[in-house]
Amino acid sequence: MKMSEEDRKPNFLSPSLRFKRRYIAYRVLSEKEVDFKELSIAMWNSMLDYLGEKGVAESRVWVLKSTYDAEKKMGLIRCIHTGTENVRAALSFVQKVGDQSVVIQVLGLSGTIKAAKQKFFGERSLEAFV
Amino acid sequence: MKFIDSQIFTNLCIGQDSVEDMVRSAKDLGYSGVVVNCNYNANSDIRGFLDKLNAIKVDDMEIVAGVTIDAKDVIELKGLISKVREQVELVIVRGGRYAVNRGACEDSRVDILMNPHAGRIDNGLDEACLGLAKKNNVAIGISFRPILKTYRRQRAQMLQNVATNLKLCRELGVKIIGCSGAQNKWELRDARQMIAVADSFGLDLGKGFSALTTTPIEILQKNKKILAGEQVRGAEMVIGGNENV
Repeated sequence: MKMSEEDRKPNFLSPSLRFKRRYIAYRVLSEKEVDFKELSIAMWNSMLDYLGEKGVAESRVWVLKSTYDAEKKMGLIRCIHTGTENVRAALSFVQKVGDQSVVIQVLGLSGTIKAAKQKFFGERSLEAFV
Repeated sequence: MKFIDSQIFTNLCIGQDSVEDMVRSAKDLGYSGVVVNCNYNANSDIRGFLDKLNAIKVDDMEIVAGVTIDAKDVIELKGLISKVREQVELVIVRGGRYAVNRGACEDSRVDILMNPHAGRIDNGLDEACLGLAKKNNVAIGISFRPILKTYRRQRAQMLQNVATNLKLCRELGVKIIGCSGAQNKWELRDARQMIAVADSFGLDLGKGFSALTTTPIEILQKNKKILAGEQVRGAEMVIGGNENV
């Protein structure tokens, strides 16, 4: 099916013009399971409180739903390379998700989702078994 | 890297969780040592606290006893310091009142002046205080708990005072120490995240790391030697000096 001219997305930017993305791996320490929707709200509120709308926009933050592992309570947040310290700091102010107390621990940074999953979530590619 | 949390409270004192719970949570967050504090005032029983704490061992974590002195004025402060100094490895003075802040900076038996801005509109320290702190080797401590427990305008004001103190300490060469000040395990924070908060208020990453690693380790090692009788308080140890002198 051909896309109409209005639906068309802009072409990809060349690598030098793209923003340098970083993926922050985090782990939620809590007693019970944590619902991603509530976690996302808590993280966004904390980041907006600490950094403000301008700071969040400048850091180009996005909480990735697809990467959240409910069993391990681990996930990834995307931001640009200059905003990583701000996001790290903002996450330390999350105290509650829903009505349970939590601590969000930043495990580290990575440049790609694949590398972050291998490094922090313990995922292994088939190449590791060859 | 060896991170030390210089001030946590447990159910041996004003905290809510047991020492074991707190220490295990701290280990999960990447700390290799904690200073379990006792809130100390004129009526406290320090001996009982130390006996209970010495009986506890958790994995390979270093558990050190510390005291947080809560004094109303300088005379009381001096008296309380004399009582506890030779019993614990870390003496912290809770700041807030200017006279207490200055009294703590003047006394070389104090290790850390914690939160000099607490309960104040201003930052609680001036150049004279910080000059004395540098001379007497007193570190300025910033605890994360009060920041965590305030919101909106109060938090902004507190962060503003913290930023001022960090700037003054950096420019005048006074030691800085960061800690969680946690009273339960949910108030503990990852050391790297606390460094990131300090970084966003003008303390560069190197100094931020030393506030949670080298500075507390140096203070604890020095105090352990003094308590063991290997070193005299106020004296510097010189190794391999000039024999002709």
